[in-house]
Amino acid sequence: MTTTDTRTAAPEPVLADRAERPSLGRLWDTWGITAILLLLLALTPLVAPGFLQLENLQSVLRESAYLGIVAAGMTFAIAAGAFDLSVGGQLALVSVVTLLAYGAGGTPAAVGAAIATGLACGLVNAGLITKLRVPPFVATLGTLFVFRGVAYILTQDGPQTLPYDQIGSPFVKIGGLNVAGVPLPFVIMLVVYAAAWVLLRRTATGRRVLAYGSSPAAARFCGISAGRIQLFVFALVGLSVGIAALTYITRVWTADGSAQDGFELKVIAAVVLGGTSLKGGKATLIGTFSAVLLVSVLNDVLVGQGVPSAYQRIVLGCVLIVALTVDGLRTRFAVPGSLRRAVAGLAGRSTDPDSA
Amino acid sequence: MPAESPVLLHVDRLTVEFPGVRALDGVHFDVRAGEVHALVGENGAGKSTLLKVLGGLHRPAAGEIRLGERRYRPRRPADALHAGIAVIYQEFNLYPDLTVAENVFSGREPYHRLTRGIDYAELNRRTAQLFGTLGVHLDPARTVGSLTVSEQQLVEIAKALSVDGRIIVMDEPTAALSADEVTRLLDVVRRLRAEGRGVVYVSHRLDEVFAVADRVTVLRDGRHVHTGDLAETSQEDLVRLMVGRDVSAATRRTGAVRDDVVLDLDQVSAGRQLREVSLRVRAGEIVGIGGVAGAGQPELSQVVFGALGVDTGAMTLDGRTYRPSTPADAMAAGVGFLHEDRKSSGILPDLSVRDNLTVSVLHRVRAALTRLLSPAAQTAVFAEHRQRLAIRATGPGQLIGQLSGGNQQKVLFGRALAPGGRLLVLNEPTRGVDIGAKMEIHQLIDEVTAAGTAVLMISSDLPELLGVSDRVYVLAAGRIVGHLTGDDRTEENVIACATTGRRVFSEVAA
Amino acid sequence: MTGLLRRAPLALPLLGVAVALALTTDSFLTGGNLENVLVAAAIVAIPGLAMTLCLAMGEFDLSIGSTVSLAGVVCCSAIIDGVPAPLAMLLALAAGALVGLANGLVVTKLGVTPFIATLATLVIVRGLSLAYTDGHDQIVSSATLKYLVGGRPLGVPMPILLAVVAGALAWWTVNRTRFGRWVCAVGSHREAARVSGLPVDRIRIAVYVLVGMSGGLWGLLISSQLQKGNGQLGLGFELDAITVVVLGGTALLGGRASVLGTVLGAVLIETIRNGLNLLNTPPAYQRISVGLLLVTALALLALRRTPAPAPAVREVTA
Repeated sequence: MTTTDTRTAAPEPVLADRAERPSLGRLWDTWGITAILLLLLALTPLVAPGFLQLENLQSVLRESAYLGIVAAGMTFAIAAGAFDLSVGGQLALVSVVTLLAYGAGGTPAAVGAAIATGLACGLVNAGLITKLRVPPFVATLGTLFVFRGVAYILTQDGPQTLPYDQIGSPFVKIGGLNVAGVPLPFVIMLVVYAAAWVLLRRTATGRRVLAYGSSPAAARFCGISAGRIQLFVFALVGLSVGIAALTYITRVWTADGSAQDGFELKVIAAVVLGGTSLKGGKATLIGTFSAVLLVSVLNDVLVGQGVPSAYQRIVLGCVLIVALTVDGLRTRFAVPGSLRRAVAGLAGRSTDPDSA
Repeated sequence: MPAESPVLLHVDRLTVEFPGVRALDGVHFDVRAGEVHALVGENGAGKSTLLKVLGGLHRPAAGEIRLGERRYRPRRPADALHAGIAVIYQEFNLYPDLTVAENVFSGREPYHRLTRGIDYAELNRRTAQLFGTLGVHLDPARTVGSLTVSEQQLVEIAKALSVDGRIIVMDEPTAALSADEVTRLLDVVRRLRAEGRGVVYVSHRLDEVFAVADRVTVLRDGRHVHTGDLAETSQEDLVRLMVGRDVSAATRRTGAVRDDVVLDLDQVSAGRQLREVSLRVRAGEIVGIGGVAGAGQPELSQVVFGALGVDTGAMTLDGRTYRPSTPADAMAAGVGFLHEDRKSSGILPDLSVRDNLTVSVLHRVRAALTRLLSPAAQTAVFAEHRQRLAIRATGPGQLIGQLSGGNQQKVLFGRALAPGGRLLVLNEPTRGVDIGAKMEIHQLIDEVTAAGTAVLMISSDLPELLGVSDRVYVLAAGRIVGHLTGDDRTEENVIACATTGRRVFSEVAA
Repeated sequence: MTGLLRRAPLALPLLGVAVALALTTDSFLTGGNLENVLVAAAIVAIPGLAMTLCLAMGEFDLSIGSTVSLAGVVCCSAIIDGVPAPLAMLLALAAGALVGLANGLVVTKLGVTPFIATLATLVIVRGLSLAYTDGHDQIVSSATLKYLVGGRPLGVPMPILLAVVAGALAWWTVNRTRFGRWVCAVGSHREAARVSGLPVDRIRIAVYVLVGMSGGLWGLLISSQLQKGNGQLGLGFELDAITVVVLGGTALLGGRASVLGTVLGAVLIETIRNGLNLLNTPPAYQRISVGLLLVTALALLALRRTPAPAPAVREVTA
């Protein structure tokens, strides 16, 4: 850049760089959910003494992997101001296709099929959204049913399962192996989060995703192509489902069109709970990561206490509403003067004490 | 005589607090029947806050408001309407999908007692009647989304009249209007005054204030600074009261226009908005584009920036064929762009000042080896721009949404310079910016042209258009109808070209 | 004809599908089959009409499928517990209204995005009906309940009668009443509605209650057909309800509503289902059809849309 300094002095003194201390609000945005997770971890052994046993901890981590990996992808979609409702259908379809491929070509075919099918699902969504200009939430609501439907078609003769005699194959070991005591699926999840963090914070593409999510109209005039961003985030969600399916299917061993009903809700709940705003432009992978573990630990405790799955659904739904309420309040508080109104609105009355 | 008319509205020691900020501090203000009272001040002076209190959107922490003799404490927008105060906010509050009449009488539609159905005949009749009193004709059954901005403004005014607003408050009503539309609006304001209503008129444009208002109140930093008759106040006084220091209105030019043509448009047409436009911008030159709103100005700027496709005609940049198909192409060629709508299409509100500056040149802040973004390189870009553009921010990580309008605009100006500064396309570079920042931005434009950058500047602010540009083209209905240089650059010529079909082309050596 | 096409562009594809089915199958054009199609269309049109208001308001209710299940469970288990059938049916409608009220309150008072809020209530309400039934069918045999689908007052099947009344009411509400125009006003520009003094929160809650009640009625109709209620009923029904509205041309982002379009959308979707049945398509394929239809309809709407209309709302910063 050519900088010709014709100005002899700035018209007014520029403020010195104040040491930038992140405000409490911004700290909470990133680390709040992690703090709650740590608190929960400290309290859980009091309620569920068996929680701290190694096998149980390993099981929680193994269980959290597929949710966590998809949530990492979804964080990008939500950061771009969109979300993908079809992840449940994608997971069912990818799992079924992966099992079919494993039957046909063994481990390499299964891994390849998982990644390729996940990406293909993501590209179908992206195509609908960018080429046919269907709003993302409705497009993915439609493809949720389409992907599940295709999975049903592929399993018309009954669910696809891994034969028990395959327990020694490398593919099946993805779900069962421990690396120095840490379950392999969780290791994969850690790697995915590290890569996702670099992608979001240290690459031009990640920055453009955030810029687009913050203001699509302004991003256009920064040379950012809306189509490319949407293509990228939906393909990324598909890819994350592909990776997640590898850890999922080698854990549950069976899949059909109804696999993981309601998965999209869990994923979106984890991302929002983590502190990524549904409005786009703001994202925290650390938050998502902690929220995934939080949901998994809660789940483990509920199952351990013998709570039926119907009630678990109710708890999950309520947790999501609370998380979204907090998200909404955070946004409202960010607008000056809205605090009192928001509180008044919640209390259902006026803040003006002597109002007629 | 306004001086003897009854006081309709009286604001006394009004204080409004937001978390950590005192937006209004003991402000007093009053409006009489049959007067236009202008409210002026820089951005952040507290005008909008005062309006929002009047409209029932904010509640004061202290002080009182009286309507005549009665105490007025609005708690929601409906309270303001019932009290006869109609606030026309800068962002219109209209339903694009509904008809003009449904908008005007929203919430107060006449309906049959028996069937509960809306009485559309009566609704449309009453609406037509209101427009009659305004002296304009607008079909009540038209959909508001199909109206022009100035027609929508009239719908807002009709809405204010429909609640029999004794006090009508207008926030920057002319910000998006063309010169002739402004004239029409001011006539309507005078008509409202003649009917004995009180009008509060908020504007950055002092020429309008002097043209229409009787009294003026100046706010600065949330405090009341001055109230007085406009007849006894000069424009210079007013500016000094607003800014709190002396300012010189003249724009100085330091650099000289060079010979090399940077941008050349030859018979460019695009869609229905732009027809056979030919123009040239030389290195170091500021070329202004004027005209009424909707004459094709944003389209022209977007064609040059690759955001809108060219149908026929040719463009060259530095003598080479130039056909950008996306803004990214344009930036790669060294073209920078400033959008006219800072809030919706300029800033990236959730991103920091630093990230807003670097977003269009991310390839330049990557580490050589890893291709990953380098925080140090980004912060260096921020530091350089902060110095050069005198951006007042607490640091690179501050969110751009927290800056004042003028400082946001300077950041966006920095972003526009980032592609290399061969050509700058500036849309309304100082719209909604206070006078201090306006002068700083004009100085910046002068600086970059002195360094050889070519500037294409679109402005609906006539003093700016004529004061800053070397040459002015006037657009009307997508065609160039005037080319003004030297002494031909007068407000009369621009208005005549833009609105009367007269064509003025100055003699220039090509 | 051209006027009808402009007001109801669905008439053409509907005619095409009908002609194709008449030519390829023997049984489509029989009186009994056509009545089946219309009854099925009527059943989905009723919630579709309420959903039309919701979309016109620029919002969604995804929880309606779970409301169907809850209403069925409430009605059937009440009858099993000895509650008179008409009262049990009222209880089911009230349960639906309650779900709607909960949605409305969460959306307005807690400020949660409708799309996600109702996704959460979808899971919660489904959990409630699963927990209440413990996963078992609640089988009933009630003539009163059966009358809701099987009755033929004046020789017209009851659902069709209900849908005609609901359609007329919906048309009147949307186009001629203050409430209907306010719903469109909120969908067109919510902030403007607030500043104009419209009771925005109450309007939104009312619409969610209406959708909840229509979901309750839907659940009653389904339970009436099956003579049972359980936690699995209504899975994925939200897609049907939204698809008929979108097919009918009601704008996704609010402001406008097409009642006639919704009714035609319901007829189209059920004609296609009927056709797939007559052509012996496996059920797995039928699951995809609605999803594909929704996506296709949206794509067509998007392609037909004129390029960016003039912005009606001026956005200038101070």
